[in-house]
Amino acid sequence: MNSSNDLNFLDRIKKDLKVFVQQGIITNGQEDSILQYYGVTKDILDKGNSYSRLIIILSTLGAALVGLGVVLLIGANWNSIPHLLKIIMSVLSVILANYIGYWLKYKTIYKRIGASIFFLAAFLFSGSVFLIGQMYHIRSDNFDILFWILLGVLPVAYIIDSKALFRLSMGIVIFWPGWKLATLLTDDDPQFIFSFYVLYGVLIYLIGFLHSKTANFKIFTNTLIFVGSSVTLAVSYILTMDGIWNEWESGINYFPNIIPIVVLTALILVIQSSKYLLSNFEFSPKLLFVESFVLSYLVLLSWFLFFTTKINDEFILFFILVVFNLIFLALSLTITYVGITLKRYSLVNLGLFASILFIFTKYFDLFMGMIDTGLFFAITGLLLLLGGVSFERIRRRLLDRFDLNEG
Amino acid sequence: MSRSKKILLSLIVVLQVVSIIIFVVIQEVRFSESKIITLQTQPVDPRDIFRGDYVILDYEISHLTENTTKRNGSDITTCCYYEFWDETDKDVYVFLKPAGDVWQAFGISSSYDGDNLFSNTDSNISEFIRVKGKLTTVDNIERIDGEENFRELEITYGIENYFVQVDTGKTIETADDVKVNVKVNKHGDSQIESLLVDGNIWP
Repeated sequence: MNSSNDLNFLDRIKKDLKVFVQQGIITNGQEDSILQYYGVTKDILDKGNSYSRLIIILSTLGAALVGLGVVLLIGANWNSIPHLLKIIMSVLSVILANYIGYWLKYKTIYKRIGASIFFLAAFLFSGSVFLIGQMYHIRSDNFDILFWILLGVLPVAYIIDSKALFRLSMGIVIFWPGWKLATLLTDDDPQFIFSFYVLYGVLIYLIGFLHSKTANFKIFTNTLIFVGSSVTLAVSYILTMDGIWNEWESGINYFPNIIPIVVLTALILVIQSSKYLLSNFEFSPKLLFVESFVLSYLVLLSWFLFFTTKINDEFILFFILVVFNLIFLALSLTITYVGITLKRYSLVNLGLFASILFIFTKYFDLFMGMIDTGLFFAITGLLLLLGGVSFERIRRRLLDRFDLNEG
Repeated sequence: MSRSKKILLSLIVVLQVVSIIIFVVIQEVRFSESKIITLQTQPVDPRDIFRGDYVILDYEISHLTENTTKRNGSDITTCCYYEFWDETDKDVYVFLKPAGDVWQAFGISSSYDGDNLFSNTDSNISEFIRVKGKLTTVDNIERIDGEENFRELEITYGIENYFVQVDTGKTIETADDVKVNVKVNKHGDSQIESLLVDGNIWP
């Protein structure tokens, strides 16, 4: 065997052994013995993993910089390049980058570099779309252009199993629908946008679970669950601020704004119900109960937001703020709990981060201005140091309870 | 990589390329039969982090004012014949007529035909063109003495950006006179054709 075949063989062995351990065919000890037989020790594996991560980070960063550089260079000198040449350059760069990415990823041992070149290809496609738009003086904040890019990039992420491309697409997945619906349906009613994003976050979270039950797409599960939870948490956090409730509009047109809310609610109900009905959704009853409880709350919250008009009564506003502050804290802790149960450390981190952010910002809200500025900062600094230590200890203790290898 | 994935990947790359080409073709076809008009503008020079310099074009026809006091009076010819609206984010057609070397607005309507616009305005309008825009702001202004009321309408046309060679935006911004040649098709869609800086085509 030549060296590239050796590497491919070892890669395969490592992957297979992991699956065998997960399925209970062999134990962790037997996995180590087999790896040692092939001369692969734990140290070498750890070092290999570190290098893999470094290669991914460096090559993805490199691809992003090359893409950005090319787009900037062409964009800055766009007027001096003839129209036809611009189009030919755009088209050829997209084809060439995709071909080189394919060749490196699937035909050579430089798989990770190949994946980064696919990332570069996505950058070049996005850049080409913007530059061609520039040719016709179309505004860069035209969100329909972003949707066009999404249609070109997201399928590639699925086909080549690229987490980097998938994460790149998530930015558009989060912002495009809200912007589009706000333009099409509302007169900038903030209630509708908040109501929509609560449900949209839940839907992304549930789509993450659907991905976890497929053989080919489960590598995207973590990203989707994280993004969905983050969206819902972000909306819930904004609702803890009193300023936002004063922005609510009165006299809203409920139709046709209600259509996306109904559609999202129906989708959420169908997906969550399927967890109870389908056999391959294996969840602990306790987790399923907690999850269903939280999702039901979020659906009700969305409908509450949709029908709420401007609140002028200060007492009611105070009551609502207290409730929403408590709810945000509960939601953060629930996400931490779900993260622990599902063994997803990114969710644990997200939940803990949200809790810390909540405590920190509320501390600022309450005490800023109440005590002397110098004393305030000294106490804040001390609390931050203590909080950082406690946070790290809690996080470590939680993460030690499960294997960090996520799907 | 499996054969089916290989086919899918090729298909997506082909679609990426085809979508770029189709976009170009659509833009070219949309304005293949169009009239070129010249509009007066005031440029501002910002910078786009991804695409270098561009100038924001603030058109004369983007700000329309009517004297609402005269709307129901006998001397209707001194008042613009704009429809009454309070709501914004509305698609409108702005009707333009030639006035010297530029085109100026003489009416605005939510309908393509202009409804009562032509029966109310003076009959001297022999040549006109309509441009589709979006009504973004409606401001009611009352004169301090309370004798006259005005209504200011702001409209965007999607032709407010013009991309230029890097570091040249300031030159355009500081020019004495900037006009824009705009292609307008029969549906009222508009597209920037060229920039006229102090009477010369830019760059």
